[in-house]
Amino acid sequence: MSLRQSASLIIFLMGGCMILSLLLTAYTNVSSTDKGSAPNATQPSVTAPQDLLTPGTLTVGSDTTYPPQEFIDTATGQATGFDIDLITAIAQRMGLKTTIVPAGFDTIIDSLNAKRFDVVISAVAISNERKQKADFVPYFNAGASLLVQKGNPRHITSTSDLCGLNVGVQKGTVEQDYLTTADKACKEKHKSAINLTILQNQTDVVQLLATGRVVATYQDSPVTDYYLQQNAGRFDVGGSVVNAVAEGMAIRKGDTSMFNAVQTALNQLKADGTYRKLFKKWGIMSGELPLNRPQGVTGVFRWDIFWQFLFSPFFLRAAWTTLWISVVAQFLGVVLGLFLALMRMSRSPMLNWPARAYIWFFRGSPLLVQVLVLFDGLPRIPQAFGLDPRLWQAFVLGPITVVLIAFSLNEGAYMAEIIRAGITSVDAGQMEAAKSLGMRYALAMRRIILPQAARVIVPPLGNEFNNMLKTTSIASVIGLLELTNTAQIFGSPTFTTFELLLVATLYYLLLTTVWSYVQAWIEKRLDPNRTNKLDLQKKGWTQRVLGFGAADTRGAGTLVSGH
Amino acid sequence: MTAVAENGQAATQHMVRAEQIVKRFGSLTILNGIDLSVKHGQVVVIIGPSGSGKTTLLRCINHLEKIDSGRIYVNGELVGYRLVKGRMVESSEADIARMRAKIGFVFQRFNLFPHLTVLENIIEAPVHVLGQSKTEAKEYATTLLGKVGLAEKAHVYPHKLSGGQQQRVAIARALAMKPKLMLFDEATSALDPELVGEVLKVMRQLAEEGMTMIVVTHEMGFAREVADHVIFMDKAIIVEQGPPEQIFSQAQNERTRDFLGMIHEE
Repeated sequence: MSLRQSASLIIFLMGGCMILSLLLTAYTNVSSTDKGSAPNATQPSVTAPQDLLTPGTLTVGSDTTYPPQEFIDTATGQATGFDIDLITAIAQRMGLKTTIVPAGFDTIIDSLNAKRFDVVISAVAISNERKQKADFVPYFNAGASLLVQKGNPRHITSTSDLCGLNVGVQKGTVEQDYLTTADKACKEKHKSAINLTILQNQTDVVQLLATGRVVATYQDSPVTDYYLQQNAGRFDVGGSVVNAVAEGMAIRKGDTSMFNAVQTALNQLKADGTYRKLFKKWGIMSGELPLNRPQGVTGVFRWDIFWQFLFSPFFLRAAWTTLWISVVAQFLGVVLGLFLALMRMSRSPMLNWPARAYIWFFRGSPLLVQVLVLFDGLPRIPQAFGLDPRLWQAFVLGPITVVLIAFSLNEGAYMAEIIRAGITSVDAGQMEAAKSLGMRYALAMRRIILPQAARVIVPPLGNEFNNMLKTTSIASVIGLLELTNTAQIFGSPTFTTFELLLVATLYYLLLTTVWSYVQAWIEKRLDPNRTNKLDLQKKGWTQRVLGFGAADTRGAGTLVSGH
Repeated sequence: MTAVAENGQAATQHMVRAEQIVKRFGSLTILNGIDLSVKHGQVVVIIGPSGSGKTTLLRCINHLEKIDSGRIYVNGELVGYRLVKGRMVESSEADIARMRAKIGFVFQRFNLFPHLTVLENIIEAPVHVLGQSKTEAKEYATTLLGKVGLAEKAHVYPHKLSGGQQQRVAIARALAMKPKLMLFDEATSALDPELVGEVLKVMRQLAEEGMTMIVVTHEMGFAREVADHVIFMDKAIIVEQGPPEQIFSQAQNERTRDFLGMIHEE
């Protein structure tokens, strides 16, 4: 097989992977987010609201890292908890199925307004600020309370005792606001500031207390009670419940048919005792806990959890998601990068400057920000510009689409520079020789220049793809169930995030190791000398995989001997 | 050979005609009003010190370099430009490529494609530019390889060949396009002395077959024996030209005599 044919084969293989991946996308999507509810005997008694995102289904947004109200059941991989049961019961009254869409708490109301779901149930405390963004049906009375070490060694009874101390809180909660207010009060009294640690997940916040990084955590009172009971003998409540406010199900402003239907269904559930039963089932303020496994913060490494999840379908699916997103984003990044590199090298300012600006922007801003802008920012554009509401939905991209677009656009900027360096490394005489034979620019690029540039491009491209496999973890911020997010979501109900992050790490290592072999094979095929074939076989696995041993200088040689 | 046949048909027409070519790089004038004419089947050798502009002149003839003023015609066609209301406008990429396909160019540094075998190097342009079938192109390539004495090297990558062998492959690659004109840019300057002969032999053979050739070289022996016409260039102009016996034995210009004197002392 000639070198040219192997280059084509590589491109063909990558293309094939991409198509395969796209075919399987639908499957991955549905299975990772659907919580199919078994049809219930209960007859619908409430008129279903109009304009549902999916007819026949109530699409619910929830940050499923907040036990006991909403979390992932590690046995089934499905969302569960008091809130989930309540909304499922409400949907049944309307004759609807329920789909739970995992979402980040700090952007959950924005996502509701962007029509990512019909309704939000996620222990959202009703505040004046939030009332301006959405309407609320109150379903739960909760205050805020402090969780402290057993025996309350620091004698913390209110937030005013927290000046100068380390305190943990979940991002975007009302408790975060209360602590900010308390912090100001500390300063006014000329005391030291509160040293806040703000994390995405409540479980991680409590973990801070368990490991002694903070002396107190501040959260909704039912949550405080839950962790207290889950970890008997470890924690105490500091002081009493304050700022008791109602938590509400959030509904888009003006969606009156939804608001009325939810309110009516909730009233029925309260009247027939279902609501009370759910309270009991989840042991909220009752001391009873229905969960069947011993759980809680422990210093012991949970091998059982580790082995249970190592080959679980959740992680296999997450690894697949990580892999195919990486392959597709890298492929699109290479294609985009090629065009950008050619534009960037053009003498025409019309082509040259847009490419420069593009590369400047995408290499100069964080990928995380690009992802969040596409996810949360884009849906606001049509509202801001007063476009026809029927067009709004077109601006709401799903998490997978957002990740693929953001990653490809970002990768394109990096690949552009790598490809440009590769093309520049090819001797200028090659293009002249091609032209003197009557070849046009595009043909010369495709047949003569790029196959030679490929040798210089592939080693850094391999680095980029290795990076891409791990960078997919950024997709966790918008709820995509890739490896890192899967570890966090499944780990948080049982305080085994560490064990599951270790599982995720093993999967990352597996993927990057396999890739290093694929890369070595590609580099070998692109080597016109092929003299390194023997070197490659002699080289130990330590050097290829772990990168130590004799330096590999294949990328540095000249293309033609005899010059 | 094709070249011989056409030679007969259009003997009166010039293969190459250049009028008042001016080429500048910034403030530096490389070609300062060059006139040149090459008849069908003629072998013209350009000699001169380095920096005299002879390589640039050759590169202008197949438009690897743009010119600042003047006109170049190859086989009656204006090279690289078309006239729009009396002004010179650069031709389209496609037109330039079409024109170049008819002119063979041999580089000092061979410029073989290192990722392709010898045979693939030769058939690349016939297949992808002229649209020949692979079988057809391979057949002709094999004939050409036999002619340059490298039939057994067809499936070897260029880096396995000596410089002289690489240059002979480069000549075969140019000939595979069945050019009407061959341009040689110091084709033997990058070679070890013992390898020069094998390349000159191929060039001489080509000249004997009636190919129209413009050769930039420092090989005075070759110029004397093979050239129909010798041009001496210095400092961006043609200083003197004529049949080889006249230039080499009774040059009129002092600069020509100095240059030839220096060459002989080497």
